[in-house]
Amino acid sequence: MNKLNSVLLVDDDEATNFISTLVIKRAGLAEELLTARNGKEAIELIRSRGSGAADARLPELILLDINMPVMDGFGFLRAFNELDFPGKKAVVIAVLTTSLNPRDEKQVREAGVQDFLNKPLTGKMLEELLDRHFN
Amino acid sequence: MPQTNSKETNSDPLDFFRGGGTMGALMRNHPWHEHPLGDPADWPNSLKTTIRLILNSGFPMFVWWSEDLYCFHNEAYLPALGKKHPQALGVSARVVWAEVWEGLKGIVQEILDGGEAYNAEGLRMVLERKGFPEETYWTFSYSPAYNDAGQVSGVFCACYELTTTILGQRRLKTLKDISDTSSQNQTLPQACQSACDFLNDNADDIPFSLIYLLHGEGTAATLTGKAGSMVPPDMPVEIDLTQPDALWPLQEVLHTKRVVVADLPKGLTAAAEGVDSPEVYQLAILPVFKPGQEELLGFFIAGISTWLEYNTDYRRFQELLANQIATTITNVQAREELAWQQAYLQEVFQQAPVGITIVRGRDFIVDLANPGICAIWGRKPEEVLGKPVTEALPEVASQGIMKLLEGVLTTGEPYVAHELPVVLERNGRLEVVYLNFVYHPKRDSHGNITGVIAVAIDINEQVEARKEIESMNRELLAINADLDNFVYSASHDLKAPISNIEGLMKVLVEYLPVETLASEVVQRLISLIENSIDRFKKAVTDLTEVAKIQREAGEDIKQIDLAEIIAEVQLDFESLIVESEARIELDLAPNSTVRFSSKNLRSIVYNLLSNALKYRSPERRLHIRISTEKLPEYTLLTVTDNGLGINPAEKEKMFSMFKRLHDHVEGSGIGLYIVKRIVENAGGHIEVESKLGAGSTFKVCIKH
Repeated sequence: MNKLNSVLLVDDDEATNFISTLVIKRAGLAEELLTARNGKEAIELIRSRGSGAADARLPELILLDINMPVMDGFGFLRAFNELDFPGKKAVVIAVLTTSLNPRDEKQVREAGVQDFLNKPLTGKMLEELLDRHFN
Repeated sequence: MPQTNSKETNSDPLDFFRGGGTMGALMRNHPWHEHPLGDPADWPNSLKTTIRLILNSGFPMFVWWSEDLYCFHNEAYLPALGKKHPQALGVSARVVWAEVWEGLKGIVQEILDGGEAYNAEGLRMVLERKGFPEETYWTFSYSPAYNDAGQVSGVFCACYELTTTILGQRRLKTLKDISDTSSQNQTLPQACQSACDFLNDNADDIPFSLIYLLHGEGTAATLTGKAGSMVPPDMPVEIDLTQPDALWPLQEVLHTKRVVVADLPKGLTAAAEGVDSPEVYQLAILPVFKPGQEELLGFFIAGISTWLEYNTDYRRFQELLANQIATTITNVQAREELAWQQAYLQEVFQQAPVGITIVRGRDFIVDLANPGICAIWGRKPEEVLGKPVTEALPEVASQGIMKLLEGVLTTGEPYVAHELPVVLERNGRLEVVYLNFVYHPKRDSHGNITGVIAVAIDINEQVEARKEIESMNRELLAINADLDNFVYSASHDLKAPISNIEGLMKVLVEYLPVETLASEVVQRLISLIENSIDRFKKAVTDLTEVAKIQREAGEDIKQIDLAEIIAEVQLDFESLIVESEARIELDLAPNSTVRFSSKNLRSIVYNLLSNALKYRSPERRLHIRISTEKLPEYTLLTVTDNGLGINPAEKEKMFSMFKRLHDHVEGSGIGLYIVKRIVENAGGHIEVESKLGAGSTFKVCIKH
């Protein structure tokens, strides 16, 4: 399995983050696991990394929840698309939610989301995700 | 030439009888030698000359000669003599005209005494020339006849019989009188009695008369008119035409449809009213036919005058009377029918459960306003009748109503209004009344538009009820939408925690020590928790599905081929179909394209096929028949199986949410509920026929 350098988890739900973190760690997916509790925090984190020190790595995979306070998934995607930094195109964004209606699915797909995962995250789901995007 | 020669040529002493036809011959051959006047050769020249004049005239003439008034007359006078000819020649006028001598003798004597000529015009004289006293009329001049000495020696008369003319005029007057008053009669008895009254005025022609009208099935006749003096006076009022022994032989007329002339029945005497009227012995019974038709209306019984010859003219007169009576009767019947129809129409107008009004002319005068329209207008009839609409209903003038009326009056095009709100002053205040109405042009017999007929229905209640329903519907729709939203957010909100529980459970298991995991109780607990989580998730998913149907209704509607969807769904179930060895039979209409949400249509077919496969009978090989049929409004999808079937009593429950009628197979019980909602949301319907142990048939009607 190709391990990733950095993964960003964007979710306000503590339990989800707890599970996802455990699953990601047990799978040995990434060397670094970043978490943000909403879109705004996530954008700030990316922005600080994109313009910061040379060793500060940008996440290669973002697991994004849609329904969040302060700035939801849609807001994050809009803001993310406005960012400009090297290697941005290589970032894979996967939505991790409990459910998504087709209309929303279409909208986020158009905003650059490449994959969809249903909570709760499992090791198997991660394996398949890596196969699809980081092979 | 000697005059004697000429005398000799006139030597025939009876030359004055020359010419004159039969009368000349009769005179020449008369046995004058037995007559007081003696040999004609010796008669005075004045007499000879007069006789020559009379014989050679084509006009009726006579001379009564001498004091004894011996009769000499020509051929033209013979009809006046009738049966008195040929005996009358040479006989004294006093003998020949004995029956009228009382009236004549004074006139004659005055002339003989040197008086002046006597002229009469249309004088009535009852003469017995035909063997009975006959009513005759004459225009004549009695003048003195002179002898050779220039003395009055007789009476000379030139005359002319006016009997036919006078009778003709008299009869014509009677016919005209009846005809003229024909239009004034309102009832049949009135009409018939009026005719008889006029006949009574002409009792010389019709001494008595009776009119019997047929009624019922033509088996009886009723006395409807009567004139004359009868003894005994009471005539039968009702005559049963099925009985043979009636007083009048009406039956014969009924069957032959011809005039019957009969003697007056025994024991009955009849005459014209008034003194000295001659008794009647005969009568004519005439059929009264509907004008121009064979239909018999009744019978006209007319006494025949004994003073008149019952000749063609007389018969013709009676027939004309029968015709005139028929016309009078028919006129009355037509008027009665018209009056009845008008009354009926009036009644219909009055009783009609709709408002009807008729307005006349450019001013739209209210001629008719039935109770229905008065109720709509909120007016009493007396407040509107005879008034122009603008005065009767001033509040409508400003509402375009007058323009509509004028339009109909001008163009003749009817106007139909649907749910037109009209403001009317009712119960002392202005109210909005919703009306459906038709304005129709009223035309006269020439097709000219004379006014407008309006028929109106007050649909206030319907409109208000509909508005209420519409408002309730909107409310319900809002509640429904709220409910759907609630279900959607609830299902969504429930998903997050259950996903977490699921994830946390998995993680927890991984962190449990091996020895704990090995415990049977723990294993059982873990399994039960996982099952519960799965069921929770399934329920939430179903709930979401149900909510989605409403939220996403109309989202992906397009033309789709039902056959294609069926094929796709079949493919989905391929492994199950193979495994269960089900036989699937398709019978699809050539064009089974419907306008529908593709996902929803798929869901319908999916659920029906899934049910058929799931609830198959273990006792027989599964046979599923799927058919489509194009109906005028719907496309019918039928799915029939020979599976377990259900008790028909539980049919309704089948389409309820979370109802599962079989519990041996997996299922949340949501499928048929979803199908029903999809179908009904799209304006269609679904029904099921099922028999426990035999199978089920689902019929889905999808609106085109």
